[in-house]
Amino acid sequence: MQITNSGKYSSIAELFRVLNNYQLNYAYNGDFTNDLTERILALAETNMDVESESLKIKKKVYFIIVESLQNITRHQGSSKNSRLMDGFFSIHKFLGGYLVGSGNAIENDHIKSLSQKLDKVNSLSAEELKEYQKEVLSAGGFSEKGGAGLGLIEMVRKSGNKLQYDFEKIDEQNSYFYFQSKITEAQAGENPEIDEQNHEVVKSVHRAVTKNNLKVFFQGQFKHENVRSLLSMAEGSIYLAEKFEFKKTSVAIMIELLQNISYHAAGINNSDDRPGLFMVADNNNICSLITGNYVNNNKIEELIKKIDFVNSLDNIAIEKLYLETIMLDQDELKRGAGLGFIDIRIKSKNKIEVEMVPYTDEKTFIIIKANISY
Amino acid sequence: MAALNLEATEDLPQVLFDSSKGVFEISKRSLPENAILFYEPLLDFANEYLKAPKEETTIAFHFDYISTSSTKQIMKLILLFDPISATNKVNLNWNYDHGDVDMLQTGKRLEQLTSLKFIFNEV
Repeated sequence: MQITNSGKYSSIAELFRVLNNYQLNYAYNGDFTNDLTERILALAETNMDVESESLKIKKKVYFIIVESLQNITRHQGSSKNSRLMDGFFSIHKFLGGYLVGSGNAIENDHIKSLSQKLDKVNSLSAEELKEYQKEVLSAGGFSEKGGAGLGLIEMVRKSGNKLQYDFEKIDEQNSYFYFQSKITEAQAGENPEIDEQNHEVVKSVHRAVTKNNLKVFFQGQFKHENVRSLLSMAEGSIYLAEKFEFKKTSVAIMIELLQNISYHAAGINNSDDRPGLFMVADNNNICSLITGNYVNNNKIEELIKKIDFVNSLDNIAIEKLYLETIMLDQDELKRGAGLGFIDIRIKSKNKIEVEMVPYTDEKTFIIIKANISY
Repeated sequence: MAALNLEATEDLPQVLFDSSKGVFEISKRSLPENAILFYEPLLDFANEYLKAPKEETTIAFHFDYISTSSTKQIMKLILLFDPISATNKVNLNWNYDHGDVDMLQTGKRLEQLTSLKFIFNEV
């Protein structure tokens, strides 16, 4: 068992703490196929329905997501197959609005013209934007990749906020382009402090994602309602669908991990809170399903003992434990059957990894990782 | 109560229980928020049926996904039929999707805990 105070997940624990200022964060990294973009849109719709957002905001967010995903798919593919070049999409919900971020590699030669376009639309007033849109429409000057800057104009008009962007150099040929839009219910006006924080959020999630080879990153409330939509999203992602047996195993393990959080995670502000983190990582033929959440310190010892015990057993002993546990009388107050970790250990055919990062005197951030070879 | 029919949802299974025919079918996904609460009326229905069971009873499961907390309740349900298997015919079909090795193994495990003979069907 690993107890790490400065282990590889301490940066994830720190990110988790920061992201708890938002109600919901999710991100994808990798190949943005049509199927994946459809899934992202479907998940966004589900989540906005759960949050009972107004139709006005839903339409705006939907539009911005579509445009952002188009930007990613339009610009991916031409670059080398390197993780640093992967497309990236993230969405963050905060009180009063949404932040939609995207990222893709861009050739250094194109930075100047892109910056000029962005600066131009950002510099215009609402009235001027309207005029400029007419101008561009009549001139019909499409760029070679099919964009005419019209998308950017619409994004500013729909979101009611300026576009934020940044470039980070990858190598002599390429840079990474970070791009984000903020959608607010009312014209929020500029708030430099919040904007600065938002800007960092997209980048820090992207950094965490590339550093840990993540494909999926989801942080939010793990109540049953959300667990359902998360499952349908993860299940349908093309990444898990390649081999039937692998997909089945992954989803089955995911079900146990997610239920685990919805049953046992400690809240921060109140006891009904179930803040949690779910990630899918891909490392050379091993897919890792990873969860993160707070646990009250008085429950840590029992939890670790349980996982250690499950890990220590060979195939025969673990099967025996499964049968014994299923026949045990169950405490009516406990929803879990005590079979979760046993099942995960059997199905993944690997040891369950645990890492802990201290959070407060009462709570610890705990990372649980199931590795599946494929 | 002659029948208990529940439509499947995203996270709840389809249930077709019919006392008059002696048929007990559960299929699709069983991922309820609280498995004990969800399965309680199903176990009650089976207990009621077992007061006067048919000569032949057919139980059929075909899960797409099943949470471990549901598996425990399914085991409870199966065990209810154990006592009548000496005098009545009880068929237990454990159906699973083609290639779903995990689901086959779950069935194999449950079979060890009962005197009922499982019939495994890969469909």
